[in-house]
Amino acid sequence: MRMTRKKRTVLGTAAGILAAVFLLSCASTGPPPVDKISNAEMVIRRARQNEADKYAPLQIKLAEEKLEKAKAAMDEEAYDKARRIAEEALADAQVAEATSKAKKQQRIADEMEESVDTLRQEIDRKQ
Amino acid sequence: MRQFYGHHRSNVWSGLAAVVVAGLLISGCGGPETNAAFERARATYLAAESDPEIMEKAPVEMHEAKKTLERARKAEETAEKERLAYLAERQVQLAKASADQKTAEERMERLSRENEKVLLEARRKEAEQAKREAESKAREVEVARREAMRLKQEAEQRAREVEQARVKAEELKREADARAREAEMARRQAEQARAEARQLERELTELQAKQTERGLVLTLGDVLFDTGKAELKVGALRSLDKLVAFLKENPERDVLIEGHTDSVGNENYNLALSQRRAESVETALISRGISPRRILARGYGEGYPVASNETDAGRQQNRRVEIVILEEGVQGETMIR
Repeated sequence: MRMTRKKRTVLGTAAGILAAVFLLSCASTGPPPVDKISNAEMVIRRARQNEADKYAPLQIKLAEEKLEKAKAAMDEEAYDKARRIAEEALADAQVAEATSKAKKQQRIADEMEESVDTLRQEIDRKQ
Repeated sequence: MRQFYGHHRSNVWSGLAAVVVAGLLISGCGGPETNAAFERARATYLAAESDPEIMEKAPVEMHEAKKTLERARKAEETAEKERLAYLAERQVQLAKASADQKTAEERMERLSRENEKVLLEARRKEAEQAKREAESKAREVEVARREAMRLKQEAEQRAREVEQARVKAEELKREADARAREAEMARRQAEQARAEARQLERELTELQAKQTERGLVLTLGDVLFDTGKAELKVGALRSLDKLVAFLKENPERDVLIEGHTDSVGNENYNLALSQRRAESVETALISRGISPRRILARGYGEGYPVASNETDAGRQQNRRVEIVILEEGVQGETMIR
């Protein structure tokens, strides 16, 4: 790889232009978004533990599909794409988790309310 | 790749401005222009922002959504804009879900406290109920106790009354028995008295008492006295005992004692002798307990003969003492001859 200085400068400039154009337009590339993917995986797992299949079926499905796409992008070393999709997967998973938790707690609260009402009625009847 | 990029950026930067602009135009990425995905995200955000509950309960999530939305707004490239809009919309949804979660948590806490309160109230009411029941039971027991005591007192009172009645009945029975005994005794005494009276009458009859209009007349013959004497012989005293008994039995009947002689001898002597003989009988009666007030003794001499003085038998009949037992209430003086 020994070249003349001039030749190298011309080649570098040309490559630089191409790279810059590539970076600043739609596609850019960075380090592999391993943490983002594992983060999305973790939140999907937690959402599942909170019965997301039952309470937020669409969001969890979207999150999982996106996680698969992100992983596929990782395999193709399209890290930027992987990162973007992983971010969306994470956002979907977070919505799924929060929605599941909220609905689950609402259901528990409903049950509690029913229980309290029943108890109160029993007490009132005993009087 | 980073090394390559970092190494060359400073070198190429100044000369590239025109190329960049050209590149952007070529790649077809959009500038700040209206985009359906962005508008939808913005509307979603604004709707959430106008909900004070979401703003209060999920302020961090809303802040993140706002920042992402701002980035989307500033994004030049359409794909990036839409991607950021998508993320912003998801963050708004996350904020809503978080707020819902908080609301549910608060509701659970409230219900938990309410549950505790209701349970407490239930226990309080149960305790009250138990207390009321215990008090009621105690009152019932007290009432029953008093009733039992009252019944016991009544029973005791009845027993006392029965005992008193029994004692009274016994007393009455004893009295009745005593009365019956007294009545029986009186009856026997009366019976005895009647028997005695009959006996006396019989005895007086045996003494040859005769009923006349003056009364019952008992004649003591001359055999009771020695000739010319006035003292009663022992045999006469036995006859007098029966007379005394009769007089004691009939205290209302007075007695008249009359002495008589025959016509033999001096008339005055005979009068005196008859008088002494009458008095002798009187003395005998008095000495046997007959009151002197009931007795009147007279000598009549030979003046009232009951038979002829011509024969021995007649003269013997005329020598006599007559004892007239007067009817009840008749005074001796009124019957003197």
